[in-house]
Amino acid sequence: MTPMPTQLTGAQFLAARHRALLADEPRVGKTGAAIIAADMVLAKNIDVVTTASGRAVWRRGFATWSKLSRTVGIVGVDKNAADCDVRIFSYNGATNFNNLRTNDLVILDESHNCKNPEAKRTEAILGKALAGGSRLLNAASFVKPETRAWFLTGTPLSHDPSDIWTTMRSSCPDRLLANDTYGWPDVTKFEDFRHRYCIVRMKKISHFNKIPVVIGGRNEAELHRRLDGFFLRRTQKDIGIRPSVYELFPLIVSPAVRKQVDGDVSKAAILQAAENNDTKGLEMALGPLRRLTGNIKAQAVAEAVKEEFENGLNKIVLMYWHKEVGDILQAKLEKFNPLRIDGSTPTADREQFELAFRNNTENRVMLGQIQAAGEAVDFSSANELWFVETSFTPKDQAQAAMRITNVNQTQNTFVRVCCIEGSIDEALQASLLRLWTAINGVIK
Amino acid sequence: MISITFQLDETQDLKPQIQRALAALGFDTVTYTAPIQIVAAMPAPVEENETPVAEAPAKRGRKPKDVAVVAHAPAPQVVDLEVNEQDKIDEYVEVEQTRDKLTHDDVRDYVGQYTKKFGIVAAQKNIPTILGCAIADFPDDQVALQKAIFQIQAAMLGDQMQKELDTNFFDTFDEPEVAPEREITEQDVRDALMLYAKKYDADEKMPNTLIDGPDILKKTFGPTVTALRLMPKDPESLRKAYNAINDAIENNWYNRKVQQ
Repeated sequence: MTPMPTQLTGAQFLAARHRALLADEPRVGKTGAAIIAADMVLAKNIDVVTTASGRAVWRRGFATWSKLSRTVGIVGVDKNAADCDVRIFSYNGATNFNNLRTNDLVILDESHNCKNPEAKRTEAILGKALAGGSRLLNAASFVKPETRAWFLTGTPLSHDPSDIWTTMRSSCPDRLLANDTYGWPDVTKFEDFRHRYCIVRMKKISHFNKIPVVIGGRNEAELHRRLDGFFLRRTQKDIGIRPSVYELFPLIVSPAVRKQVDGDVSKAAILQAAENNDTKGLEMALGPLRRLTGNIKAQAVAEAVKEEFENGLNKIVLMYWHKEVGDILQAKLEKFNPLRIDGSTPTADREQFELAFRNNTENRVMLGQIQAAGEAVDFSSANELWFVETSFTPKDQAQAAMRITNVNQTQNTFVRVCCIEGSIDEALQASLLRLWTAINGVIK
Repeated sequence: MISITFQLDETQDLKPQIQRALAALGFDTVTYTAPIQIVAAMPAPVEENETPVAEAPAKRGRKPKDVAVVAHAPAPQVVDLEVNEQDKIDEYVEVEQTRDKLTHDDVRDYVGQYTKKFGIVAAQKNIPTILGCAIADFPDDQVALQKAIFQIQAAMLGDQMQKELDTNFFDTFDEPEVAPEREITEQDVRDALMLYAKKYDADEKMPNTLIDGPDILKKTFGPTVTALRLMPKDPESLRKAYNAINDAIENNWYNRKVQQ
């Protein structure tokens, strides 16, 4: 895989620093940049802490981007993962892991997950803040004082400026000290930091209890100067409009569920049928397993979508095949006000839903049945489309993907095909993806 | 007579201008020598596909379908091998010049090759020494990046050459390997005693051997070992006994008269 120039500069930025924050917008290529940088510093023992849905993406990322041979394991999923060169953790997994290894590098993906100084995960990963933050107990944490650590997030201040304190306290405490030249106060302690850079009001939550609530920011320019040189941020605009990215999105499920998905079917026969575009053969071979796989994926996808929204994604289109899968997604993502178009949707409603998805910020999810919503609608207000399930007909897939990759699109687009990692579904989806992306490659 | 005039920019390289002008007329390759002299061959006569149908006399009734007539384009007639070679060189230079610039990723490629060969731990130790700095610290200029790649290549090649030397060169002058010694069995010791008897005894009763044999064993293992059955049977002891008997045969420890 050839890296984008912005990924190379991002990698150089990280590799040149012991601690750094890469704050590129989502989908600018932080994962690739960090892995390239890990190669550049010749890191062998690496711990990656990421979201639950990001774990398999990082495993795939190392296979795609790294030029160095390292063993990669997901802790809590793979046997002997703890002995691998690259250990991938979810934030919850890292919180409960007794980390004794000295690493060459720790990568915190979506590092805003460690923004709360009192959270267990923050203490386990960055260290426990004592005396309001004047001391940091981090000898047993993932990010030890001598450990090289890079923070990746598209939303470093996900709520307010105080969100960056934990990162600065663990990685650049000298930037929190007083500076007489500029007249900056010492903000090493969390409360000092928060009151310096946030407008805080006490909110009464009962007759006897009040809590501090941040209602705005202040001294932003000062904080920006304190951070100068520690972070790098590029936007989608910086990388320019690039061809659509089509990729697999592996989902992790338990071995028992994976076995259920694989069933007793002949893997060779299924892949052969996919290669030969033998739609009927595929349907015959997979039978009810297809529906079961869809239902399992829908659960995992709903969780992954929630994480993506937390990490800065604005809107998403989810394509499915079975009605049941649409039902699961609609129920699980209810709080994002999903709109849904399937075969039973009246034409008038289709137009209204399309308009609502384009104009209403609160409608963040569009659920579309591949055949019913695969043509004559425009979802280009989203730049990300996931196939929760796929059609066995490449033409349907290609058409559905064009709901976001059309001429109205002004952002970079990402089409991801969800699959269950390590199952026959992954091999099948990879095979189908090759077929229908070839169609889009020709008729784009 | 048709006269064709080209207008060339004398301040620019003439060759590509001429080639472009001729290519526009259908002449792909030309020979020229200094002073520039264009020798453009007359186009070859158009060859028509000889098909019996096409040449057959017209018949009554339905007209025969049009048969595709393949007209060969005028083939370039003048081919100069030297020019072709030069073209190849020019093309190569052009490709090299227009090739994407080297980036830190190219250096990473070679580091990847190094680690595949020697492992990451060796790379962690050696690459900063080879390059003189970390990969990311290399300035983003072509000479520096090219130099970094050469250095890594040289390190890999140097190691390869060292290995070659170690295996192919120095091995030649090493002392030949000594074959591992054969393990001595109890039977070998008995056979050695028989040889002793054959050399120093005149008859089958082996009087000298019956006296000297136990003495050899006593001298080798101590006073308590006077017979083979009393001797330790480990390989080292068997070898000691075997060597002692052979030495006795060789050096005639007991000044016996040699019978054979």
